[in-house]
Amino acid sequence: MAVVFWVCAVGAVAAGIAVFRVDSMARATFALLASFVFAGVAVLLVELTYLGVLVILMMVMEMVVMVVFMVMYMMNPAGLMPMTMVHNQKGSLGIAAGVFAVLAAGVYLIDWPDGGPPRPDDPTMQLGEGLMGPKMLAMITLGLALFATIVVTVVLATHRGRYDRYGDALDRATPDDPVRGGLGR
Amino acid sequence: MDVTGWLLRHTPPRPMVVTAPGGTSARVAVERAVLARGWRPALNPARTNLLVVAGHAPWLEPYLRRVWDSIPAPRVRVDVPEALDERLLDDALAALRDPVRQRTHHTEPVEDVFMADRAPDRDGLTLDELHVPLGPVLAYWPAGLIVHTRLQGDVVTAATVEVAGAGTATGDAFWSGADPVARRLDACGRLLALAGWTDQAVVAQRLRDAVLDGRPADGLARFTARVRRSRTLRWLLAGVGHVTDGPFAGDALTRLYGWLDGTGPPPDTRWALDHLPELLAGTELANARLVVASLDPDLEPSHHG
Amino acid sequence: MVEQTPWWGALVLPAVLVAFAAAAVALDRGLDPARIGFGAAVAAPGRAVAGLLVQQRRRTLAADGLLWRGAGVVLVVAAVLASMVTPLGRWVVSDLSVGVVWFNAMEIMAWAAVWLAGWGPNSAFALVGGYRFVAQGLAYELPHMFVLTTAALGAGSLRIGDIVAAQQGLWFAVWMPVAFVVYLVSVLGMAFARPFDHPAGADLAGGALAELSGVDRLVLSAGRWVLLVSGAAMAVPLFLGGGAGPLLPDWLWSLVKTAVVLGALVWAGHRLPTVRMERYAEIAWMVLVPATLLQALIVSLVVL
Repeated sequence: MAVVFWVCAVGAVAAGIAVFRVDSMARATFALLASFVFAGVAVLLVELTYLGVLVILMMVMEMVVMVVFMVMYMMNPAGLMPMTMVHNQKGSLGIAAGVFAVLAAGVYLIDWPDGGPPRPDDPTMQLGEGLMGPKMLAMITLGLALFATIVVTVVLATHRGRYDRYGDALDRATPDDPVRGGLGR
Repeated sequence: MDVTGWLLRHTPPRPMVVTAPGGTSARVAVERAVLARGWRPALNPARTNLLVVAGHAPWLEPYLRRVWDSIPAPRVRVDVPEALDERLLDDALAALRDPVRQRTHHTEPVEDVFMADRAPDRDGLTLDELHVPLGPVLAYWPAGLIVHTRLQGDVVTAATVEVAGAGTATGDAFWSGADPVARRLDACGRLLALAGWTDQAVVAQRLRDAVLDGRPADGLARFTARVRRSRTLRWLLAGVGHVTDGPFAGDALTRLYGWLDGTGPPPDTRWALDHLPELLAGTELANARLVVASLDPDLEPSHHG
Repeated sequence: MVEQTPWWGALVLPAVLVAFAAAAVALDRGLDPARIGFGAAVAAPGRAVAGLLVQQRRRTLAADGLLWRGAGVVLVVAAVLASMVTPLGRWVVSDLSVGVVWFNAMEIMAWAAVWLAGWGPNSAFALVGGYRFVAQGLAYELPHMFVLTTAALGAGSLRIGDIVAAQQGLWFAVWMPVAFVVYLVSVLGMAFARPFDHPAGADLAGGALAELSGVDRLVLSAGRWVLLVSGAAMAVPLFLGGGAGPLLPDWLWSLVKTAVVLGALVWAGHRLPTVRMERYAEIAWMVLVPATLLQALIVSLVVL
């Protein structure tokens, strides 16, 4: 256990540092992914299985999508053109040091329970109910609102809407798409 | 125990056939032998260990040398200028499996840097643009054809056609002396292979060989029905390389059906070369490949190249 | 119902997976229209391995070797880890409480692996192949996730053991047919097996795998086949009642069912041309997402 923890802890920090030391967008992204996966395994160690696995699942997806966009915008074909992830060095150093200090102080200042009540069978479930139990309706509404926001943002941001595809009167039989899709439209 | 020798003896040959213009008869013979021996063709230099050159063209040599340099050992090159002597393949296999002859190779990375630019893409963003040539050494690609593409991601933004070392576009003499059904089956097989339907592509090849031999092409009707019945193929090829009018009006699917039924016009190389740039612009790479295969340009060898 | 094996179960698992993968390769070659015969088909996987072991590793100019060669290792490890929660009869290496999510998380690793394999060699065709797989991943993943959720809904648990137990009366494949079919389709998609092999397509001269040779190719191909096996094997506890069956012991039923699913997937690959993503994506989003959501709704109503 302790060994795994230390491997993950050192691995996460080392991979995190690597993000800013490597000179290719792909390497930076996948170093960041490695850092997240180490953190996910650390979450697994405290037996928050669901959260740990979810961190790994979501981060792999997100980083792969991110690398596509980053490579696209940062013009870094196959690492041929070196780049750096370091911007606004002083400011970011200050913020990082500040956040670290606050979190580290929290570790020592918070009065952690010890001995106390036994561990629940399913901590994730307990955590979820603790957070949302009495406010389930509000959470569901919030979830829907968030989802609607995402959809609306995409609709507003999209380069080609239905009027571009089907004409101003929406009367085109087949949409004007650069590539034909699978529904034969 | 000699592990390397043992592994070499059990290495399956993976031929990669490169055709020079005018090498169709050699290509057909090689394809037939490869199928009969149960060898699996390789799609790229990394996978092959048997570079088979069908036909002969001096202008192709620099390309072949680059391909050869990028083939990892063990590797053997076989030249089949005209007719295929089966012993050539036997010798190649022996050379492939001979540890002494395979020992000395050492490949260096081949310089294969594509020119990169930036250009507006179809969504109005400024993105990288690569200059990537398609051909002349490419699986299921017409012999002697080079299409210079500008690629953004996998979108061909512009294409120009180069006919390497070829004079006119009357086509390989091999086909003019053969049954047109064989020519059509050859085109069908290559299009189907490119569309990823290897199984039916092999059936098409078998039927082609039977027609060329003058044997009865049993199963031609069944093959035609099978391919025509496939809803997936219809769904995948419909709308690819759409041409509004002229002899080739329709899409890759109608052209394939035309070959199958023998009703459509035979491939017209001149027409294909003239129209390819405009047909390829704006397509995705996969569609671009299918468009070329559905027009199947057939180039005549140069007499002075 | 399901019990965890001792530690050595983790050593047996890769061996079983590799055996299945070899059998799948042999079947694939046996179904080839070249008709190489039974003996040659059985020998094919071994000979392919021999050929790759003796082949030189290819280098390309300005390649990112670490990411490129690491891709295969990631794929193999993820494919094996995905099966860690798959029970063989009564035995499972790890009966995680969130087995379904674990399985999905490991499959997703393939996205990273294939993209890296395409990116690494600095080759246009390989890169396009890598990007195709990301598009393919996005297209199959959402329906796939809903399908996994549906099976979990049916059992009211994310634990694979519970899902098997919930099928004692009726297999999920019977009353969740849409979910079962979409699951099989997405298994082919995630292993980029035929007919979803466009990321490694003939039109790209091998796509994401175009520049790989030697032991690098061996590792990546092994990962690809093991991933297909892992997907096929997971169909058994999720939809086909796990090890349940008459007469035979449950571990044998698990093996038989896995073999049947795997065989059907490989066979389907020979029956169909390659499905291109620009066509499939629209079907996935416009047809499969609503269909799987509807299936999930029906299942939750029934369970309610």
